[in-house]
Amino acid sequence: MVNKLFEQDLQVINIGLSSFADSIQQTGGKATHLDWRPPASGDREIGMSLALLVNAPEVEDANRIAHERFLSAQPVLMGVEQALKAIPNLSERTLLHAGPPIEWDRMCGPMLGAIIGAILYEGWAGDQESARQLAASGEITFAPCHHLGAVGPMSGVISPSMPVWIVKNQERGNVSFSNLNEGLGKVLRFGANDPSVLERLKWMETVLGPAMNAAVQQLGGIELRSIIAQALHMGDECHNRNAAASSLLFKKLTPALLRTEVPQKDIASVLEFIAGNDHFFLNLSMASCKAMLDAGHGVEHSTLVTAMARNGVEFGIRMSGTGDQWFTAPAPMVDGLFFPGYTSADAAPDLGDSAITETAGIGGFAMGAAPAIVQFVGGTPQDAIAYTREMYHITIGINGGFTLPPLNFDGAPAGIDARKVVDTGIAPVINTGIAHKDAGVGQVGAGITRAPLECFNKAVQSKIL
Amino acid sequence: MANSQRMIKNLYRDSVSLMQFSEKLRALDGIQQASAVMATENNISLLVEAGLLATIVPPSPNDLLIVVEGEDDSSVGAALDQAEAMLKQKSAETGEGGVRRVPPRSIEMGLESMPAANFALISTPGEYAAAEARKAIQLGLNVMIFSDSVSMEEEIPLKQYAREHDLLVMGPDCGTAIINGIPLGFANVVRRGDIGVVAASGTGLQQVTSLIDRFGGGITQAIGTGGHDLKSEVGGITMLQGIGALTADPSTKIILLVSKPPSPDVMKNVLEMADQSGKPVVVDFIGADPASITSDSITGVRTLEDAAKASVNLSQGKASGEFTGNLPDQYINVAKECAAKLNARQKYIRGLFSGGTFCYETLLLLSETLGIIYSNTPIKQEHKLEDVWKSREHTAIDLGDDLFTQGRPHPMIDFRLRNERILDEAADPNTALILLDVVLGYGSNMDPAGELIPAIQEAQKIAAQAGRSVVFVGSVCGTDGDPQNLSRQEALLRDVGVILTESNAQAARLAAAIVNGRV
Amino acid sequence: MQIQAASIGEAIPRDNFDAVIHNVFDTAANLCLVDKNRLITLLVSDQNELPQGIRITQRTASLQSLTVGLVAACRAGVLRFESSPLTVDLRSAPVWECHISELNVDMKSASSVQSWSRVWQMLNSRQKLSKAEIVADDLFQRNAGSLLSQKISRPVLQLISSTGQFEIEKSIEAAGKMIGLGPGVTPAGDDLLIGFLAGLWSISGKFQGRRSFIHSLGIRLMGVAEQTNLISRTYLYHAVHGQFSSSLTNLAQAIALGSENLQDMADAAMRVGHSSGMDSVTGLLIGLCIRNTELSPA
Repeated sequence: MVNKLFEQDLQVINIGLSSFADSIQQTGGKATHLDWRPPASGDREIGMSLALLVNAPEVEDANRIAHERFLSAQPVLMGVEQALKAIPNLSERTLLHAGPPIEWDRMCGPMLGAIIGAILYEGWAGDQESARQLAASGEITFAPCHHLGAVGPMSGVISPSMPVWIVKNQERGNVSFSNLNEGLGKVLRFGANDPSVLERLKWMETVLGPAMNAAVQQLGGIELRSIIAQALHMGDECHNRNAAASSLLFKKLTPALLRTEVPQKDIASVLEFIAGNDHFFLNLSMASCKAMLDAGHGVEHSTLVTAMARNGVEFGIRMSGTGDQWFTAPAPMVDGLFFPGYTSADAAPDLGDSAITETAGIGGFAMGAAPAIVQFVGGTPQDAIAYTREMYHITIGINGGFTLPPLNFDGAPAGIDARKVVDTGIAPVINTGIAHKDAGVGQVGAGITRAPLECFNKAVQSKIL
Repeated sequence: MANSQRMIKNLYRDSVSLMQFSEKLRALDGIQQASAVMATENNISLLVEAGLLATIVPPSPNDLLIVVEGEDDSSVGAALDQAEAMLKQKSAETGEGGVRRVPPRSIEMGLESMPAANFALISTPGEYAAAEARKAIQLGLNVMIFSDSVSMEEEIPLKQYAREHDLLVMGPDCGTAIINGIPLGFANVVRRGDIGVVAASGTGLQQVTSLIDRFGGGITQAIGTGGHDLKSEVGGITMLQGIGALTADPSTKIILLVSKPPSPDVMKNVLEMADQSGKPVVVDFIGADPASITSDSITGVRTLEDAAKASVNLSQGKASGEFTGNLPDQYINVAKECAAKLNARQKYIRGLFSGGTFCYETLLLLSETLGIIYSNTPIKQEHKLEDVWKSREHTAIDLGDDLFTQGRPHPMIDFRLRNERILDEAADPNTALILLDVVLGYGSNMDPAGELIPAIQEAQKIAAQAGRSVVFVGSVCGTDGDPQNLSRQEALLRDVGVILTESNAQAARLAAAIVNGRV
Repeated sequence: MQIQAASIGEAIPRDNFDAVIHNVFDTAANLCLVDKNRLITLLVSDQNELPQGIRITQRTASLQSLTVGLVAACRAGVLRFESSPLTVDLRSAPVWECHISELNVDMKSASSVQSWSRVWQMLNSRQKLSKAEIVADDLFQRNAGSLLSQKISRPVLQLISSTGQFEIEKSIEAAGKMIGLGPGVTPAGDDLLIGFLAGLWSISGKFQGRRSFIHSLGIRLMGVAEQTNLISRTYLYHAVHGQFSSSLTNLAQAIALGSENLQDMADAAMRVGHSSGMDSVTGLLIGLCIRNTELSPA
């Protein structure tokens, strides 16, 4: 091959001094100069760990297997049930929360509020103060949703009595869960816990949940992939914009619901509730993504990122080949547009399991297909396309099932490769809502943030080979 | 009735669409017959037989021939135009509409934008160079690591991996290479020819390739190995691979090897491989006894100049030549004239070098006749200068040493340090002669003469004010193809009184003769 | 988007190589190897193999992003394309090999003869049905069928008799009249010749005489192949070396073994391209009859 080089045109990738590329070009050679910066934020040791993984056959093979499992997943909505019954290994006094593990005394404002709300909702305490004491007492177990196959937006608090969506990957049989979306305004996921919030949660448990379950059973399950694919053609990216997907779901649910035994007045209130919430589909989008990514999880040597999640204090990722390990860094702030009356000073750091959508190649990764989103998160439609294009450089491949019309129907960039993030320094883009830092105020804006590189640096340094 | 034909260059379509295409043409207004076939000889004669083609046209099997027959010339012409337009219609490109593209940030991204890349040139800060090199070889690229301060512990696995995958790792600390005529790093524009070079030293490689050019020869490849390659630990992996590649390269007729003396085990392997190459080999293990190297197929030489000369001689079908090491006749008078200008206290040579190998070669040559030469990089440790900023007796300094380059560009680029030192030496009443190297080529300063001349003139003024005159001797390493142009640079330096020789070795010998003439 | 090759043909280089994108069809793209002046083919298919093929599967790939004239290059087992996000990892792809020359088909056995006749019938009826320019039966009748059919008939007959006699010169003369003749990107005459060679290899068995004849014929044929285009020439090159597409190889094997899915195999082989598949099956069936007194298409 050394001799082959002598017979070829010299084509040089130049890393470092740009003048070397110039002189190659001036003397008739070809050179591509890299916009290089030290990988792994300049940490030499991690840089070397990364180098050994680049194009390593074991990793490539593992990633292909993991990616194939992830892409071929067929998430289907199976029904709605109480969390305690639906989620295996959920014990009676456990509260699930978003993001990587976190103890009570480190939780951010919205999560604290949501935990207190959940305790009151479960009736484990009678008032705020005793709920707070109970939470601090150690009698309640806190666990990340992700540890039990679940995902929840914002604080992501799921308590045993709450109804949860059950989504099954028909291809491999793995199951994921998510709570039901409460709508906007004063809601538990932003930390609100006054009686109106608890009342709505009770209604969701007794009316909405059973009605949804009846409708889904009537339909014999709902294919979620096709709804997402269709919604991407209708201007959603299925993280921050779910208007089309929610409508598509509504279209499926309504006739089915009418064919069930659910009382007429409940049907009316349920349909009104869904119709009034453009984000109703978000939790299903998340559960679908979780089911797809879990299918790709657990492949030895794979650097496929299978979860990105935030608890409002830390941002954490998991990787297919490193099991249950979390790689964490401080949660970043979100750069975005604020609702009237709020500023960045009101914002909590990035929060929620909803970055599972980006992990699966939609949300911020599919922004190019959702030009309307820029009115919400800032920027121009060109910026949105540029974000999507940039993400192709850090994914293992594309999702041919999720095509993006403004990008000539190319598949969405899907399946983050931790190696590529570290090597290029291109951090995954996340398109997200911004919670008020204090419990119960609600959403104060939306915008764009990036997953912290530090998480990926730690991931590639873990024992992969 | 009219018919006509048109040839469309290098245009391929599915045969299915070609059939459909012929049908479409037939359906056009006023067209009776149409055919779109590959323009092979047999197809052309078939069309002639079918009466669709009036005369035989020259075949071109990779092109598409469209033949139509219709009512009149205008309908036939229109049909052909339409046919061509239909064939060339490309699927509408997606408008990029102001969407920014990400410039390549990693080697893998670089490969995405330049898939046929076959080489990576790495000049990052040393601490990151090994990792980048690792990625490059794992991605199937040959590598030159210009960066220095990469440890041998990092170098060895890189070279072993590369050797297993038949890739070349030049360096670390490989300043110079010329591959396929393209200068890489600090390198000169050298005529192409039949001499293949492998060298462990960057300036050594620049000197031999420039001199080969000056002597009328040319090179195939100039491969750098980096300074550690010939140590026992590394085992000369790159040098051996280089010899192997040049052996297999049909364009290379002569092989030239340059290095400081390798460790004995490596030397043995290198010479063995050189011997087995079946090609004449010239070897300069700078500082080693040429006799210990020379064999039937190997010519051992003492200087870089002799190495270049011997290679060019062999390339021109002559004997490699005899190298006496004597000062050429034309310099003997020059030496006398210069010596005559010096006073009794002016006894010492002060060499100020930008190229490490130039300094090293000078130390070797001067010590042969003058004894002890002090340096920051001496041959023997006991002759190391205690204060590198101050010369004593005979001194030769490598200003490219890490000591001097901390936080500033290399002295081949930035002349400030050397210019200051020239003035210091000129002010020393014991200085007889200032010996310089000047390196041209890509990577170096774009006008070294212009940088040096003010300092030289100032130095001459300082000496004159003290009633002395200081002799400047030097050599310019470069070619007329270099962006700085060798002839022009030499002329400028001669204009201010610098005595220039063709090579560094001659400059050293001339310098020795001048001060010897005094002593 | 990095995808894994589902399989690669035995003629795909294993080390780094450089190529230029030569043409792009809907489901295949040909790449011209820079130093070999031969094509390799990136094909999107769930089963069809080529000796010079890199097969990727239907679900993962689209070739739309490839541009004719731009560079394709393989480094460390990964094939990349200039100005295209597509990259194909060849490293863990299984290598497909064509073993047609080891088939040793016995065309005197009753079952082979029966299979042969069934395929011949299927072929002719399909050719007639699709109004193909060449109908196999017509080749053996005076002045029957299209002008092309009439023109190619004579060299085909000459090829049959001269290969039967191991006469190189006359065989080459006949082949020279067929090469590059007919419609399609791979002209019909070329497809016929390729199929014919597949037939010859299938029955070559351990007969040293037959093998050395094919070998000598092949060397001469590559000279004549200059008269056709690069795509055809590539197929001819591999045909000369006993390497054929899986569809043709499978059909030859099905005839040899009297396989149950003979019909499927024949369909698959005939379905290739517009008429290419039918033309090469015509050639294959004719080639299988050489040096056989009991079986003749005529």
